[in-house]
Amino acid sequence: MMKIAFEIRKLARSLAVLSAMLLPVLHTAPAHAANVLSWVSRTGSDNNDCATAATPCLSFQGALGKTLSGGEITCLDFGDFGGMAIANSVTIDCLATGGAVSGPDGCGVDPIFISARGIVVTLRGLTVTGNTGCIDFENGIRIDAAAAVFIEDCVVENHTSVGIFDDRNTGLTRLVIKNTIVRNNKSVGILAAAATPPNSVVLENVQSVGNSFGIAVATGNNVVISRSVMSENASAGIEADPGALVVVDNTEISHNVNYGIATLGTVTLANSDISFNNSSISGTTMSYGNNRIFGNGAGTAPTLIGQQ
Amino acid sequence: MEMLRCAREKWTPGRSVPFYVDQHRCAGMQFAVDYVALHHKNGVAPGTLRCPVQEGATDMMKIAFEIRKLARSLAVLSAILLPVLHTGSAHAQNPRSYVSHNGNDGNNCSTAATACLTFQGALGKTTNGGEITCVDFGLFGNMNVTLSVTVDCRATGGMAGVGCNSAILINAQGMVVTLRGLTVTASTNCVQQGIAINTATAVFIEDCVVQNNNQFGILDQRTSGLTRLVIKNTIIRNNGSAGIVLQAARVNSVVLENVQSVFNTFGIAVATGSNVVISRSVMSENASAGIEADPGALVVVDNTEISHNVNYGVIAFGTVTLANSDISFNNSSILGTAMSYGNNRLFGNGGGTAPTPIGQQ
Repeated sequence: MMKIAFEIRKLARSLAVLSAMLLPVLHTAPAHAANVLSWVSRTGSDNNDCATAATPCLSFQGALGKTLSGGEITCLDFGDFGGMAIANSVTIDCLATGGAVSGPDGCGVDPIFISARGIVVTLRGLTVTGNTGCIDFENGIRIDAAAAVFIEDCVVENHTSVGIFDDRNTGLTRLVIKNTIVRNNKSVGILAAAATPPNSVVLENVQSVGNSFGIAVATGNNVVISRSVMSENASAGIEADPGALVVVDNTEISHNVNYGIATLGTVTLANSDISFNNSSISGTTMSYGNNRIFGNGAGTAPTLIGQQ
Repeated sequence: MEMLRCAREKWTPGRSVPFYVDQHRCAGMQFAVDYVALHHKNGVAPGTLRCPVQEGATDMMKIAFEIRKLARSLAVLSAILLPVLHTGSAHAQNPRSYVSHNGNDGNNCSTAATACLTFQGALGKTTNGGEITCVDFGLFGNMNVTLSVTVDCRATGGMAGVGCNSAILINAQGMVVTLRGLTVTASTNCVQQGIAINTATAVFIEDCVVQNNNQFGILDQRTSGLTRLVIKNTIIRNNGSAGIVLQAARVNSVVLENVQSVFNTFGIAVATGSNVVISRSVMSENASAGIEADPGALVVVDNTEISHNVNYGVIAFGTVTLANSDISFNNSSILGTAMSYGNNRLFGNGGGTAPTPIGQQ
C-alpha cells in the first residue's frame, strides 16, 4: 500500500515533466495511396474515384473495380451495395456500419461470387440477403475459386438455395467462418463441397439455423466446428458424406427435424449437446464421453474414444 | 502510564510529530483514548489530536495521508502548470482527442467538431494517460506511441496503417497503452509489422484485426523485463510471418483470450522469457505451426482449437501444457514434449508425439 502511495506521488511529479516533453510531437500524415482503401456509400456514385469518404462509390462492384489487389473496401454508411463478383484479393469490411449485399433484383444470381484461383478474400460485417419468394435458385456466397476465404461477423439469410457454398476444385483451399449467422436459407446453410486434397474449414461461433441442413460436408473437406449452434434445421444439424472429416467441440445441435447428426463419414463429438432432434444420430460417430444427448426421439449411440 | 505511552511512541510532550490522522482512525480505540487523555492532560484539545502514523497505523491510514499529500502537491503543480498551458503554447493537451476522416491535424482535436485527421496528430495533442477516439470510420495512418494512451475506436472502427512502416509502433517506456477497435492493416507489398512493441510496461489489444502485414502481425520485443501484454477478442489474419511473436525479455506476462490467429506462418511463436496463457482461442490454418515454444518459453493452452496447420499443431521445445483443446488435421499434431491434462482430442493429424499426461487437481 505504501508503494502505491509512492507511485501516486511519482506520477504527479511525472505529469509536469511529461507535459513539457509531449508538446513538440511530430505530425505526420500518411500518404493515401489511391484505392488501397475504397469507400462505398448509399449516396455515392460509381463514377467517383471512391478513394476518399468524400468521393465514395455506390456499389461494391464499382468499388472492386477501383481497388488494388490486396486492398480494402469499407462502408461509409449502411446501404444495400448490391452483389459482386470477386476476382482479386480484397477485404470488404463494413463491421462498423453494416452493409447489405443482394443480387440483381434479389433473385437468381449469387450475390457474392468468388471466382479467382490463388486469391485471399475477407468478408466482414456484411448482410448477404436473398428473397425466399423468388422462383430462381441463388446461393448467398458461392466460392468457386480462391486460396483462402474468411467470413466474419456476417449474416447470410433468405436465399433460395445454399447460404455459403464452397465448391472449389483446386484442393488445398481454406475457409474460416467466425461470428456469423446463416439463417433461413431454403437449402443447406453451409455446404463444404470443395475438392480433395483437403479443403481446411474452421467454424467458430457460427449459428446455422432454419436451413435444410446446418452444415453439409462432402469428401475432401476437413472441418473443425467449435462454440457453434447447428439447430432448427429441416433435415439435420450436421451432415457428413463418406470421406468427410468433421470435429465438433462445444456446440449445440438441437431441434433439427430429422437428425442432429447424419453421417456416413467421420464425426467426432466433444463437450456438445445433442437435444430435441427427432433422432440424435444417424450413422457412426465418435464421442469423447463428455457429450449430452437428451430429449431426442431415438438415434444411434456414438462410439467412445479416449481423450489424451 | 504517561511515561509508558511516550516511550512506546518515541514521543515526548512538546515534540512535533510528522503525521496527522483523525483520532478515530488511530490504531486501536484504546490507543486513541489513551492518546486523547494524554493530550488533554497536556492542554491539547481532542479535536486537534495528533498521533504518529508509524505507531501501528493501518495501510488505509497511510494511503489517506498520501492522498492528502498528493492533493496538496497537485495544487502546487496546477499553479506551476497553469501559466504554461495558458501562454500560447502550440498545442493544448487534451484528456480526450478525436479523429475523423473529415478532420485536420491543424485542429485542436479536443472535440468531435475539431477532430484531427490522423492518429499521430491526435497523439501529439493528448495528455499522458488520455484517450483518443474515432468520430467516424477512416484510415488514420500509422502511429508511434510514446505515452500512456487508450486509442478506442470500438464504436466506429478505425484503421491504422497502409503505409510502409510498422502500422503501430509502441515506444513508451514505463507507459500503459490500450488499442481497441482498430484494424491494423497494410498493403501486402510493404515490409512491415502490424503492431511492434518496443517499450511499454503494459499493452492491451482488444477487438482489433491485424491483417495483411507482410511480416509479423504483433511483435513484442521489449527488453526491460516485467512487462505485460493482454490480447482479447482479436483476429490476426494473413500476415506474411508469424501472427504473434513474443520475444520480450524475462518475464513477459502474456494473456490471450478469444484470439483467432489464422493463415500466418505461425499462429503464435514464443521465445524464452515469456509466460503465456491462451484460452478460448483458435490457432489454425497457419503454414508452419499453430503454437511454437522456444526452449525456456512457458505456454498454458486451454479450450483452444489448433487445426489445419500445415506442418505442426504444436511445437514444444519449451514447456507447453494442453487442456480441453482440439489438435486436428495438422500434418503432425505435436513436435517435442508437450504436457496434457488428459482431456484433449488429437484427431486426423498425420503423425506426432503423444503428450505426456499430467494430473489435474
